[in-house]
Amino acid sequence: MTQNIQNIGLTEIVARYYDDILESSNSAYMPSIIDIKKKSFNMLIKNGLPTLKNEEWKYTNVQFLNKIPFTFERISYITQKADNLIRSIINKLSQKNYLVFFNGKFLEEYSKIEHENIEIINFKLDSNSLNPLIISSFNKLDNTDSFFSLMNTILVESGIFINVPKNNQIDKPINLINILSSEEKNIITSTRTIINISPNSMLDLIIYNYSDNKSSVLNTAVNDISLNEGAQLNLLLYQNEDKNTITFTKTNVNLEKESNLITDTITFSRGFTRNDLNVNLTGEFSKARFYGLYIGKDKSFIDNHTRVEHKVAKCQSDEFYKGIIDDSSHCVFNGKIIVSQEAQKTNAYQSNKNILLSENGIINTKPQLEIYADDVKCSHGATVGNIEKDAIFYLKSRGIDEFTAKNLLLKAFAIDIINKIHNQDWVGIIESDLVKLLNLKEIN
Amino acid sequence: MGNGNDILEKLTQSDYKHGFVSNIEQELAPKGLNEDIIRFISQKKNEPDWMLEWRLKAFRYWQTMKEPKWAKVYYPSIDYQDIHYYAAPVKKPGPKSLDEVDPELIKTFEKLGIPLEEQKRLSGVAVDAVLDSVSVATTFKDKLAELGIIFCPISEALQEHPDLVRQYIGSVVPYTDNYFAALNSAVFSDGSFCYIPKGVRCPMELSTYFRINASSTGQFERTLIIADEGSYVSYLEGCTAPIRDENQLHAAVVELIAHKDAEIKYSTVQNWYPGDKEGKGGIYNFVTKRGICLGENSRISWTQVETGSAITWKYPSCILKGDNSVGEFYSVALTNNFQQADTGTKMIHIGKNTRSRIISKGISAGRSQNSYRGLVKINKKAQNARNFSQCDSLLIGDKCGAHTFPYIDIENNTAIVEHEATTSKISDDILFYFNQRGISKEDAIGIVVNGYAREILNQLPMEFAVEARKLLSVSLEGSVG
Amino acid sequence: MSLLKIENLKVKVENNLILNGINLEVNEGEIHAIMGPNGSGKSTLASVLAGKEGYEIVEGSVWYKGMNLLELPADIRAKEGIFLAFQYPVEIPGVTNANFMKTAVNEIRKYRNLETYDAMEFLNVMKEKAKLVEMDTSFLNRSVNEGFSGGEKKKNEIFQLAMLEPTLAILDETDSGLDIDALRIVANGVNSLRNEHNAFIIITHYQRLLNYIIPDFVHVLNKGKIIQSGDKELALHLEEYGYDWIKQNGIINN
Repeated sequence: MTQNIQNIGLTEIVARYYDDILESSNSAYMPSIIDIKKKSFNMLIKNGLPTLKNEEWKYTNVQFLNKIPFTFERISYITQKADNLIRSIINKLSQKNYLVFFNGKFLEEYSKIEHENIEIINFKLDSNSLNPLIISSFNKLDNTDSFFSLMNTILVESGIFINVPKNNQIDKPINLINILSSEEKNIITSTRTIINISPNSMLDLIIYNYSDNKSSVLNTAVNDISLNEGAQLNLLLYQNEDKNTITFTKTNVNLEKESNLITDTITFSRGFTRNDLNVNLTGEFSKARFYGLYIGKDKSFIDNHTRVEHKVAKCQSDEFYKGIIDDSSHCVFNGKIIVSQEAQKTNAYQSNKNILLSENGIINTKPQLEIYADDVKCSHGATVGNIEKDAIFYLKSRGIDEFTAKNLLLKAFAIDIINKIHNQDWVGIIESDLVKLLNLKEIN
Repeated sequence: MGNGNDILEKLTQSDYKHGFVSNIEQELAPKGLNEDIIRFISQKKNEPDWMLEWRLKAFRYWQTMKEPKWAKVYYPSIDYQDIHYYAAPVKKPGPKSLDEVDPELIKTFEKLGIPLEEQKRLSGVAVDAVLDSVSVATTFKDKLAELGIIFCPISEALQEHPDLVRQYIGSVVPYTDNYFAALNSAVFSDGSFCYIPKGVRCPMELSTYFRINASSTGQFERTLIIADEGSYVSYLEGCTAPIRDENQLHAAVVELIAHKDAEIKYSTVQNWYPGDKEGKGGIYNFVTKRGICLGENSRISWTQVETGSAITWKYPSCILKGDNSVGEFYSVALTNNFQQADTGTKMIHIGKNTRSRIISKGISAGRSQNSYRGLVKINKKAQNARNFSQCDSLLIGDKCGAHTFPYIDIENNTAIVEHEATTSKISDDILFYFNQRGISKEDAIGIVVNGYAREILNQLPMEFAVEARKLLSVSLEGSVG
Repeated sequence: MSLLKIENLKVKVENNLILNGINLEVNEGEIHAIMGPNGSGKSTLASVLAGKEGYEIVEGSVWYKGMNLLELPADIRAKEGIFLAFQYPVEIPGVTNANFMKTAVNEIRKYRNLETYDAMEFLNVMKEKAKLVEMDTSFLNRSVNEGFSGGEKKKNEIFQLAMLEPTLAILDETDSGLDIDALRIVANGVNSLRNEHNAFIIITHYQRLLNYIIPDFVHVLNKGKIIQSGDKELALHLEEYGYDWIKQNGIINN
C-alpha cells in the first residue's frame, strides 16, 4: 500500500490507491465490484473535487482537503483510550444491542446482538460471494453522488448489511457505534451500511459517530436504505465528533408503498460535517418525517443538504431542522422538495429555524421547492434570529435573571427536536451532551 | 357541473391585445455586433468620447463572458450576430415639439393608451415614450424643469447633463456585473434619465412606455434615476411588443440611486408579447434592475406585475448601504401557455437598522414554469437588520410548475429574517363556494387570482393598478362563453 | 305551490350509501326543520341539493320549480334561488366580502335580467343588510371569512343570505358553535327574511334554534331516511327522548 503522501491533492491520493488496488492484476474483487469501482473512479475524475461554483457546494469549501497529507494506513488496533471510549458509550445503553466499529473496521469482540430473526452480515467486498442486494446497492450510482460518496465506493472494503425479513417487528433497537481515533497520522476511513426492511417489518436503528483525534481524520459514510411495502424505520443519526474530524455522510432512503421513515439527524460535531439525506417516495401512501438539530460551536462547519422527491401520488413528507450557531461556526441548511407531475395529492412541509448567537457565526439557509403537480399542499419556511427579546423580557418580568432566561429558551428551542427522538436512552445522552456543549445550566 | 379542465384550457385562449405592428419608416443598423456597430450607435447619438470608450470596454468584457445558465429557463441559444442593435423611426434629431413626430407614431402610442398630444395627456403622469431603440417623445418636460427635475431620454441627458450621467452610469450595475448587463452597456440605444433635486417631491408620476416595433431587433434601453437628498419620485414602466413568430431580445438595465432621506418607487407592468399558445415567438426579457440606498433613511421600492414575455429573467434588487434604509419588492408573476419566468430579488443589507420586505406571488397556468429566486444577505456589520419574505405560488392546471429558490445568508446575530412560502391550487372548495353563490368557475378563478395578487396591486399607482388588474383578468378571465 | 320535491333520493359517497330514499316536499312560505343524529345524512342532503361534487346519485330525483335540479350546475342552482348556509364556510384570503358579494349579486341579477347595481347602490344595500345581522360594516373590507370567529362566519352566511334573497335557503347546522346572542341574531335575520314566496330548510342537531325559528314541519332523519315527520312538537319530543332512543326504537309515539 502507498506510504505517506505529501500534499499531492485528494484526487491524486484516490487515484494512486485506485492504481494500486484495482489496476493490479491480482485484484481480489469480483468483476462486478471492480466494474462499479471503475465507474465510480471515472465519475470522480470527471467531477473533480467540488468547488464553490457548484450549486450544491456553494457555501461548502472543501479545497482545504488538498492541503492535508492523508495516508491510507489503516489504524485499527485498539488503544486503551479507544477501549475506554467504547465502554463508556456501551454502559449508557439500557438495551445491549450494538455493533462497534473503530476507524471504519468492525469489532466483533465488542459487538453484541441478541436478535434471532434478523440478518446482519459484516460483508467483505473481496469475498467471492456477495448477497445480490449488496451488489445492487453498490450499483446505484446517480447524479446525487458527489466526489465523496464516489470516493467511498472506491475505497470501501467492507460494510454492514442488515436485512429484516418479512413481518418482523424488531423491538430492540440496534446501535451502530462508530468510533474514530487517530493519534498522529492523517487517515481516511470509509463506512458503508446497507439496510433492507422487508414488507411489514420494522426496525429501530441508531448510528452514532464519536471521535477523539489528535490528527485529521477524513471519514466518508454511505447509508443505503430500502423500505419495502408497509415497512417502517426509525433512524437516529447522532454525530458528536471532534474538531479534527471531517465527515461526509450520504444517506439514501427509498420508500415503497405505505412505508414509513422517521429519522432524526443530530449534529454536535466540532469539525467539518456535510450530510446529504436523499429521500425518494416511490410508493403511494409512503411517509417520511425527517427532523434535524445542529449546534455550531467553536470553528465548526455543519452542512445539511436534504432532498426529498415525491415521485408518486398521495405521499407525505415533513421536514423540520433547527440550528443554533455559536462562536465562529458556520452552518448551512439546504432543503429541496421536488414534487413530480404524477405526485398529485402530495403533502410536503419543510421548516428551518435558526438561532444565530454569536457575532462571528454564519448561517446560509436555502429552502427550495420544485413543484410540477397542482393538487398539492406544500409549504416551507425559514427563520434566522437571536433569542427573542420579548420572551427574555417576559421571563425576566417573572423574576428570572437574563442568563437563566436565555438558557431556558435555548434549551427549549433544541429540546423540541430532541424530545421527538424515538429512543429514550439517546434522548438522555443527547440532552446531557447538549447541556455540556452549550455550557447550559441544568434547569429542571 | 362544468369540467374544471375544460375551463382551464379555455383560459389559455385569451388574446394578446397589443400585438399590432405599426407602419413607421425605420432606420436600421445592419445586423450583427462588433466594435463598428457600437461606434455607429455612439456616433448616431453624438456621444462624448468617454461614453464610447465605456461602451467598447463593456463590449470587450462581454466577449470574454458566457451566457448564464443557472436560471430555471430553457431556450435555444441566441445568435447575437442575427440581431439589429439599432432601429429608430426616421426623424429629425430630438423632436422639440410633437409636430415633428411622425403621426403614425403618435397613433401607435395612442392605440396603447399612451396619448402624447398635449390636450389628451394623462393628467398627473409625465411619459417618456420609447419605440425600439429611441425615445420619441417626453411629455410635461417643461413643467418638471421648473422644479429642477430632469426627465428626458438618456441620449439627451448625455448632451445636456453629461457630468451627471458620467457620475452615476454603471455605479450600481457595472458593465462587469453579468452577461446581459455587459451587452446592454455596449449597445444601449436609449432609455430614460431622471434626476430629482434636493428636497423636491416630484408632483407627478414619471413614466416610460417601452414599445418594440421593428422585427429582428433587440431592445437595449438603459434607465438611470437619481433621487437627491430628501427627494421623492414615483416612476412607472410599461412594455408591449407586436406579435411575431421570432423571439426578440430585450436586455435592459435600470439603475436607481437614492441619497439620504430620498425615496424612489419603481413600478413595472411588463406585458411584452409572451408568444402564442404553442410557445412560438415572444420576447426574451433579460433585465438587470438594481437600486442602491446610498444615504441614511433612504427607501427604494420595486413593484412589478409580470404577465408578458416568453422568458423573464429579472431580479430587481436593493443594496441597503445607508443606515436605516429600506428596500421593498412586491411582485406578481403570471405565466401561461409555454412562458417561463425566473424572477425575484436580492436584498443586500450593509447599513445598520436596514429593513427589507419581499412579497412575491407566482401564478402558473398552462404548461408554464414559474420560479421565484431571491437572496437575502445580511452582512457582518449590518446591525439590527430585518427581513420578511413571503413567496406564494398558485398553480392552475396540472401541467405547469412553480418553484421557489430562496437564498438566505446571514452573518450578523442581531438580524431577524423570516421566509415563508406556500404552494397551492385554487381548491375545489373555494370554486364550489363561488359556484354556490352564482359565480361561474372561470369568473371565480379570475377573482381569486386578483384577490391573491391584491397585496401587490395595492402598491401600484392608481392608473397602473387598473391596467394591471385588467391584464391579470385578460390572461385568465373573460374567455368562457 | 310546490317549490322542491325530493323523490326516493339515494346517494353514495365513496361507495357508502348515505342517503337511502329521501322523500320530501317543500312549498313556498314553509319552514322545514330536519333533525337527526350525527352521521344520519343531514349535511349530505344539504350538499347534494346545492350541487357539490363528489356525490353519486344512485336513485331518485329532485324537482325544483319544475326543473330537474340534479342536472343543474351549482352556480345555476344559486342563480335560480337556492342558497346554502355552510356549516364550515371557507376562508378566501385577499378577496373582500364587498367584492365577493358584489360579484355574486350582480351575476345573479344579470341571470334574472335585472339591472346590476352600481357601486353606490350596492354599498347602501350592503350596509342595510349588515345591520340585519348586527355586523359592523368594516367587515365588508376584510377578506372573506379570513380570521373570522365561528360566530362571525355564521353571521356572514346569514348576511349573504340576505343579500342574495334566495327562494330556497338551506341552513346547514348554522346554530352549531353559536352563543345565545349570535343565535338570536341569526334567527332574527332568518325570520325577517321569510315571506310567502320563499322557503327554508333548517338542518340542525339541536332543538334550541327552533325556539327562535318556528318550523311548520319537523322531520327526523336517521340512517339516510326520514323516519318521522310532524309539527314543531316533534322537536320537543326528540329533545326529551334523545337520539339514542330514536336509533333503537325508531319513531316516537305521542
